[in-house]
Amino acid sequence: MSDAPPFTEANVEYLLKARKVIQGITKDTTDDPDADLLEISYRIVRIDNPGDDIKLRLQARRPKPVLATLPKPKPSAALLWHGERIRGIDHKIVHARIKDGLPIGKVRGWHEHRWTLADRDKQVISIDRQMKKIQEDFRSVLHFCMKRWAHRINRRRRPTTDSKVHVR
Amino acid sequence: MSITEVVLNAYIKAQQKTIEFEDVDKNNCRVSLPLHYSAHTRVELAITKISRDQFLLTDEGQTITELRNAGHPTGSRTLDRVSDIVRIWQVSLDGISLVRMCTRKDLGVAVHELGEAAKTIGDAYLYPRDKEPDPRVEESIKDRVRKTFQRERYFYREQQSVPGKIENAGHKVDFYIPSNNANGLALEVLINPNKLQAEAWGFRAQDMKAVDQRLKIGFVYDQVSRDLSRTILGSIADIALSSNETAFLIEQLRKYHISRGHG
Repeated sequence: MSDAPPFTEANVEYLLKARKVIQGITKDTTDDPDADLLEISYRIVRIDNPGDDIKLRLQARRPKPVLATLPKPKPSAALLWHGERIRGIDHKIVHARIKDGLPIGKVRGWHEHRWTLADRDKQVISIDRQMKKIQEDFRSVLHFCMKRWAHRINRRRRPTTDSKVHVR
Repeated sequence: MSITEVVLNAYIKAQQKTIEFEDVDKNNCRVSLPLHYSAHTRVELAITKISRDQFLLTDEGQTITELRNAGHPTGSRTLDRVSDIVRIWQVSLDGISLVRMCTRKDLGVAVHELGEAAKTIGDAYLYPRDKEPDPRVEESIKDRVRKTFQRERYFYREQQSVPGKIENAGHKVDFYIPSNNANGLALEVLINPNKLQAEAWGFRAQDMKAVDQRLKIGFVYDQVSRDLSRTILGSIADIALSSNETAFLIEQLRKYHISRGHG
């Protein structure tokens, strides 16, 4: 059975460049002390058509350590369009660089998954240098992703379920 | 040197080269294993020395986070299934983290087995998802419904458009028995319907009934349908049966005085 995505690389690039707003929060466990996973998910719409849910979600996660004394796992984030990761940021000791289905090298540390039609979310580029400029905590990584994928955040208002916060 | 030794030496040497470590502090390190999830992300484990002879191994929730980052829902049913799958490696699920405790003697085997457990979960859930239902499942359920109608001599039509009050063009249903001095039936076979599909059929059911008040609405859904969808379908339909309950279809047809469809 085919699992063809409902978009192309050009659609993805166009979407990333378009002005977008966060329209609401679809999930938020960051204030829940019992949650095993710190997780937040934003519904994002195009600023020129805010009434249309284009199935774009910005999600960030950080699992809680099994014991409070253990080192904290690093956060990760993903931009999902129609349930498919079109951009993602996470940290690995080492991650293979894939192009057209073949490994062509390695990246270390922080990297960004960039969706292509041929490799889906397997293609990665290193962003270790950019990430060294920010804290590695959950909020900082989330804001880094907002800026990177959605350009600009209006910091005057914190996104709530019903608010519309400009991210560009 | 025997062939076995050549292969073993080559394999061990390659493993030593491909496994990578990151020291966190004196008692904690992370290991990156040459095992991959579907986005070619390597399985990484965190290892903590709890005491001189006790080690705690965990994937730090990476496996479940990978699933979620790739857009896979991981509700309580998925976590229960993950818990079942990894038990064979003496791995447990603590929150969303795969965890194994071991002694120094078992450390090597434990690293291998926890890696295998994480990889297995990745393999099970990170393959491209089939968004379309398997047509063979749908056809086999339809065939059972068809045979029931034929055996009991109900005259039915397939793929019939049934008019609605709002949708004049009608709603296409899999099986239709017109009202004929008794109640009619519009019956649809649904494979793993989601909430939206179930709600859409709720609208269609009301729309068809608005035109023909003697029309009864029936659904037969497959066994993997989600509870929420089942609840929605059950609340809107006159007849709502799971595919393993088709034996009760005839009982329901009689209960609702469905027409045999003959003139």
